[in-house]
Amino acid sequence: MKELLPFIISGITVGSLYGMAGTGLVLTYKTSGIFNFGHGANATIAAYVFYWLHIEHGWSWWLALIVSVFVVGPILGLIMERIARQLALQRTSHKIVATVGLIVLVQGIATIWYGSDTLPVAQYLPKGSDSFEVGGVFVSYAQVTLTVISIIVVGALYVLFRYTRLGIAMRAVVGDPDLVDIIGANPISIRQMSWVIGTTFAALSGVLLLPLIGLQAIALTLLVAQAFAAAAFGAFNNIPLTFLGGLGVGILANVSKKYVLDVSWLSGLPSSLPFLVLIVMLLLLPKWRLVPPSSVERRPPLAYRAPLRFRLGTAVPVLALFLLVPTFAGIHLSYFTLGLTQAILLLSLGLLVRTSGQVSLCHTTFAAVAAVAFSQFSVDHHMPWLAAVLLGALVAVPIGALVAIPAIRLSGLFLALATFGFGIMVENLFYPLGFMFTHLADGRRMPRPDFATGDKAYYYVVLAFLVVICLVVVAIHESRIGRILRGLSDAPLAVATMGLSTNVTRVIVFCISSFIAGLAGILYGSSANFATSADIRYTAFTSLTLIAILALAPFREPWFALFMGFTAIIPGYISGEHVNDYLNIIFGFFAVQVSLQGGPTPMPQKLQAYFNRFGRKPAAVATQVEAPPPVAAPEGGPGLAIDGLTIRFGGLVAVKDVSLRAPLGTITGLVGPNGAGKTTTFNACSGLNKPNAGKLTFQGRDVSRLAPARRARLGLGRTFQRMELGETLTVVDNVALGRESSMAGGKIFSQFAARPAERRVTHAAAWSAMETCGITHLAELQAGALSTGQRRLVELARCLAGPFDLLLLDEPSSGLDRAETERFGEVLTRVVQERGCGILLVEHDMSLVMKVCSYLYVLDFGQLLFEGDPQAVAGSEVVQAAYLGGSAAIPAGAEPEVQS
Amino acid sequence: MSTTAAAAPLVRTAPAVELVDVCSGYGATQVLRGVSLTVPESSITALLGPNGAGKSTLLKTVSGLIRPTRGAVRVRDADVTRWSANRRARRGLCHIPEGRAIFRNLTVRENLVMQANGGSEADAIEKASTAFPVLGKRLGQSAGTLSGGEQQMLALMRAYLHNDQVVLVDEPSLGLAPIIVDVIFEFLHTITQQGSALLLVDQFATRALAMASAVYVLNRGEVVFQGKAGELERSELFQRYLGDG
Repeated sequence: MKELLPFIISGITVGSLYGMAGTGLVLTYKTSGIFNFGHGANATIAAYVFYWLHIEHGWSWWLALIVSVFVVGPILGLIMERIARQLALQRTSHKIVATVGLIVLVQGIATIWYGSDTLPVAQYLPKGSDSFEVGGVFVSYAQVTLTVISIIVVGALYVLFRYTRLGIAMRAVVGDPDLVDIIGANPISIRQMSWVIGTTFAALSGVLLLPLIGLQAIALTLLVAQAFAAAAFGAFNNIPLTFLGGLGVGILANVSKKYVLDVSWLSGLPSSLPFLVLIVMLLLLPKWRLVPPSSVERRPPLAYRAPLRFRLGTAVPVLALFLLVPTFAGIHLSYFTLGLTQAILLLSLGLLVRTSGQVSLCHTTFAAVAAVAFSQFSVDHHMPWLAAVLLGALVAVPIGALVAIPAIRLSGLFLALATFGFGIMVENLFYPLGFMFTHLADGRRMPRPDFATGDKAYYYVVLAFLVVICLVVVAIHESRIGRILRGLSDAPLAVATMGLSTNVTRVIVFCISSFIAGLAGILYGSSANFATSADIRYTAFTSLTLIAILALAPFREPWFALFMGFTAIIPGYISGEHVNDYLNIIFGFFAVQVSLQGGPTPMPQKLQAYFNRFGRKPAAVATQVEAPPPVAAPEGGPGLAIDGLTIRFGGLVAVKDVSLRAPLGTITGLVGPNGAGKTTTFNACSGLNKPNAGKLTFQGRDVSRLAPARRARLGLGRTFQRMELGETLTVVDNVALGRESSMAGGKIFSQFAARPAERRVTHAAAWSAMETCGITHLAELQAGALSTGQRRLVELARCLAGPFDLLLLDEPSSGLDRAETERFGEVLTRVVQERGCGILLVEHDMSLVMKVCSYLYVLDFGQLLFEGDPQAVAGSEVVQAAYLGGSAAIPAGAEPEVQS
Repeated sequence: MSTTAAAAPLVRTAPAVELVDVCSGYGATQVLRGVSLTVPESSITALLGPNGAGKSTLLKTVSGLIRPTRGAVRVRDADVTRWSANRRARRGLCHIPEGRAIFRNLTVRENLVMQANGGSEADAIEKASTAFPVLGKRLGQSAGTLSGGEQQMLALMRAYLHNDQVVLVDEPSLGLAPIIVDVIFEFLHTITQQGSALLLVDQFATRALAMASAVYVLNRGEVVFQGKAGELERSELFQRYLGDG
């Protein structure tokens, strides 16, 4: 025990600093909903300002500390609040990219300022180098000071948060910002206060950590990122637990130092341990603890796609230019080769981030793993070059799956956080080891193919790979997997309830992406002849730069990869020590900018018009509609049966012992006042919540325990009250998803590509559904650009296109005007007559319900109040009372739940 | 927040709330389509209509949670159309939205501190305990663990802590047992007696009508009836709910 004590004491010291940084992070995340990956970058800025004032300008340490922490910190906090406020409305991937961009930006600035080598900083605290002895262990005064400062500061925050008016207001903002606003307090100023405090905490931890590790931008940024593990320990929510988590991480990392002294292969453990803790915590925390607080999303800007002819017409000269590169590049040729390999890497990342909406912060890790595997296959096992390349890249696939499968259950933010930790952990723990890059300075030998050992020949090899991968990426986007990925990115809930097993899709795209990233890593390594752990193209930090570059790369796939190639060539032509750092500043700055506006600026209308003219893009093709697809709707089947359904949320009984029947061939209505439990019943039918009791039978089959996608594949379709459309997709693509999601189903191969017969069925189903709903003229328009009424019709058409026997429609007429509602009612009646399917309709508009439904169920207080045909309902005193209140409101035996 | 707790109500000529040709909604979804409405001082105005008619949207537009796309919102002579919600609240507008307008993660005491909004904490606690002794007994308890009726009492305290406000109440009786509903409606009466004007949305239309002096009926974002509360027959109202009003 005694020999452990020094390690424990130094662990407590750094751990309390992690804890302090972590509580600052939790405070800002809780109150704003924005997780600041750049928390460490803020710490880095403060540390650099301190260094500049104290070391370079000779200010006394306390004055420099006051300025760098209590002036710089709050200023950064106010800037962060502005950023967070704008990000609140953007998609999760933009929220992640923006704060990652901050890291890249700050790293660039800091490196230009004081270089990339670590500058040692002497302990500046009073009696910094002195120590005293307690029970045979030496403890330095600095250690005591640091620990005491952290405890005081975090304790003060706790008291503030718990007991002061400001603290109450901060917690109130977490609960309900709108309510704070209408109570008369300004939620923005409250959030500003928490950002100021949180960022000042980061600044303080950066300045205090400075003497312990010295001045180095990446090290400081990532060191404070160890606070993420502390925050995970507090479930990103609890301040005292976060502080304890910080202490735990610090102690664990330092104690492990003692044990790994003798075990050389574990030498990277102490520095990777916090990230290991982060990943483990993310895996262990129950899903409901990790729901990100904000869910408001602005519609993404409309995407533009130039006509095929134009794209092909551009591809030819671009390719020709690439073919000519070796004739003019001269000594710069290696930069062009590098550019091509990095373009491949960006393509793989784009597939993941842009197409599927998932963020990976460890793509260089996949590249590194594949490069090492390739070297082993090729050099150690003498495999033929091409076989080694493909096998090497294949090794990255299980690694990708290893990250993706456990993290897939988490929302986008926490997936990104897990990949962030994974990248750093692998770099610290495994890169220097024998089976990875080895201890040798040269690392691993990366041979080129025998026929292309020269630079020019190798350039063409890489170019061939790039062309093939471009074609593959385009093919992926054109095939079923591309379509369902776009649907998944825009409307995950919708594709799941239409029959797609979304977790399978997520893992598939992660695997494809890591395979292509692996290819890029191998090709890059071979271009340099060696792969080393110090190579910037393999370090975890470069994954962050990649994300920033991807954020601002213009155009769609595969064209955005050109941008990456271009940026890689720049250092070849502009010489200077800091070219890459200046580039990082640009990337970081614009990544923040682009994320704040919710994606790259759409192409100007004029340019679009020009492209269209050039390519002569035809107006929406009036496609021949074939015979309506066969819908297996047995005439008058039993449809859906609900028996004794009960659902509780905490103490509240939302639905109590409800039984109803929705047979095929008719429209059944489910009505009732607000809060009666209608949508809750619907969600239970489609499997989005778990009933406490009751049985759901569909066409005679018990579906109570099936996942949403399985129920959909059995023929249960639905729409949503809050519409779930693929906003960036065209109307016809949206509608086709109704059919294609269930065809893709849960099998890997069926998710990849459609058979020709399936293609025809999907096409016919989509056009027939659009015709039924009268929206064929909108087919080629983007769903995000339509009016509410049109969007409702698109959602209905999507549901109609699916192989569904029973449609659950949740308030389909809300937001429609009178004329639109009338037409909507006619469509519903016609659909049931023509296809023999059934409809269960939740609807507020009683006139619509009275007109189209043949049988009605009335819910109130979560219980069935009345059932009968529309005339009976209209004449019912009980129903009138439920709607209008009054003495007859509560029928005998139907006492509403009173909570106690 | 209005602190002019004068015993004698001020004589005002302008109505408490006035909407002029207001269009409003969420993003591309238009809910209110050209609504004009007046809430007189020191009385109760009922706002009725089927679900989805736009009642809650109207209240949110008055309190500033939603900005209208067209038209003007006036509160006691001031054109507040461009004001933030918290500025409107500080000028005496008290919106109690549907579904227990309390901070469930805070204690009862902390909720009252928020409601006092800079005013005296002790006063707020004393007023609350006097009006509803049960709240006084549960000051340290998390508001989310109160019963539905107690939560609603706590939410309504905000309208009671300060006199002479413009109060907008959305579905105060929703999901409550009849006996609690009596208490809640009685309390709304008390609030108007303090000089506040009240705009009341409630699903128990007959009860709301019995209390109110004026009534508006909304359907699909348009005013389909306005007049004195006594003029509206129950059967006629139900027909309007069923549509085509």
